Amino acid sequence: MSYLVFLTFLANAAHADEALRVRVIDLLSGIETSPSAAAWAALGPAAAAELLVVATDPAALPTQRGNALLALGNFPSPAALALLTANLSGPASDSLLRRKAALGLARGWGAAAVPTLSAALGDADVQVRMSVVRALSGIDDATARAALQGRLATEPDAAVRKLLAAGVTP
Amino acid sequence: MSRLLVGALVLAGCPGDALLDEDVTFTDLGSFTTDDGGLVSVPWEAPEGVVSSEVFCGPYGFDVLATADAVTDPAGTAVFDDDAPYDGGLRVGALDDMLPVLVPVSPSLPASAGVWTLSLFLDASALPATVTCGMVNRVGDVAADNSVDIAVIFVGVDGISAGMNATSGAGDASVQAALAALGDLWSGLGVTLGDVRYDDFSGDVATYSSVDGYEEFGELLRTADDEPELTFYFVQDIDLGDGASILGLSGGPPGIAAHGGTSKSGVAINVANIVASPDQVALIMAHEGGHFLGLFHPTENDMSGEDPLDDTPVCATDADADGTLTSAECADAGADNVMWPTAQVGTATTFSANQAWVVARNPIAKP
Repeated sequence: MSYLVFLTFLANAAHADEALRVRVIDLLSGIETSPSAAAWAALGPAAAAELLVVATDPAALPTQRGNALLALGNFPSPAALALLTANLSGPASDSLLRRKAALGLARGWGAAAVPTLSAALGDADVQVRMSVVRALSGIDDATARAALQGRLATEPDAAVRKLLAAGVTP
Repeated sequence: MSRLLVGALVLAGCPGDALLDEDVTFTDLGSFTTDDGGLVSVPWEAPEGVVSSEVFCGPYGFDVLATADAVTDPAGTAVFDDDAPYDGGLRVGALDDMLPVLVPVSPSLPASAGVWTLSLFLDASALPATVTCGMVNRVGDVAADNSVDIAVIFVGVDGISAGMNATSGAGDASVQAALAALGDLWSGLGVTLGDVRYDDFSGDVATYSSVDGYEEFGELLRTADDEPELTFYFVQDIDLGDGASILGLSGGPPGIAAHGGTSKSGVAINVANIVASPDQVALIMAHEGGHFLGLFHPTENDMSGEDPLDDTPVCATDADADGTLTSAECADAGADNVMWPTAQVGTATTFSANQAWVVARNPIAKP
């Protein structure tokens, strides 16, 4: 009897995992809408494990992987920090993943992410630089503003300079 | 009466009209100034033989929303009331910068000749305010099978696939796979792809390649040409301000058909996934293109409303009571429809007969 109860427990746990996985993929795949912080919070901490799986799955769609990196900012942990830092700084990481990693770092770690984000202000990809500027601009911290101000003098792209100028304005 | 003759008569009656196609005309309605409460009455006349009629007013800026307080038909009957926006056969959004009203978006409210009236409400802090309005009318024949011409505008996406530019787009495997799959999906609407035009975005690629917020989205759509076609902007990313990627966005809905230069004159498609899944990009093009052509979500996934069609399923099964409908919860109640708000590849493949009826009457659908 106890064995049957154990099997039922395992089956229910697997079912719950599958339901969570489906819900996480659903939230990562919005056509015209994106999930709120409350929507992620409602799934609980177990969602973080699913997000780590999607974010590192090369078979997942690029937008799902990118959105998973961003959403990990809602579940700060050492594993999430290591993954986001590697994606932002890693030369093999593609543009979309670098952009979402930057925004996820700002969302989850705030001022503590400023050194990592500042180092990415010189990324070769204009779109990545724009996301890094947006990430730093969203952090209410003097070192973040100083990093933006410092980049303003050397940034070659006009669109990025426009964002930098907006970011250093209190 | 031939379609050409009807078009000629419409032109003869309105010397300021511009003939966009043999059956489609644009008319500048001039300026309208609201009262101190933000209201202004905008009459527009649909000609004899009208198939569809769209009126639009703006621009009033991206930090201002407008909607229809009411719309009345030529008989003087109220066919839209902002107090009950999901009743009846018309849908009007609350939109930034430019407000379109398209008739028909449902067989229950076909277009009819005569003077319609839009009571426009502008939710602005600086009132009175002045907007300019225009209308597009289509007359002539209606058929079950139609073609839609499209323009594909590449906005700095050659980093995703090297062939994604105007020179190579016609030969790019991912682009062609997506267009073929779009054709398959739209066949359920009775629509085939007509002329396909490729162009490279000539504006600020660095800014608009990754669309950030509704203002950039609207500014991008303002670059659409003044042609009776559906303009798809292929971009690297679309982010409405919270950092997350969304997959597509349509002007409107509905979009402003056959009239370029407005913030509702096209559709943006996130093509980040096009190499891995051209089928997904095709689904997003079919869905957003459907919005542009006058289709709405069968049920909003926050359960806030429904489309005006009586043959699309209504889903009311929020099994986990979280206030959001998922594809799994609505598997038997709408999730198979391409216009489902969280449409999934392989699951969302169908359109209803009434959705096809609406699209067949859009000003840019060609019998």
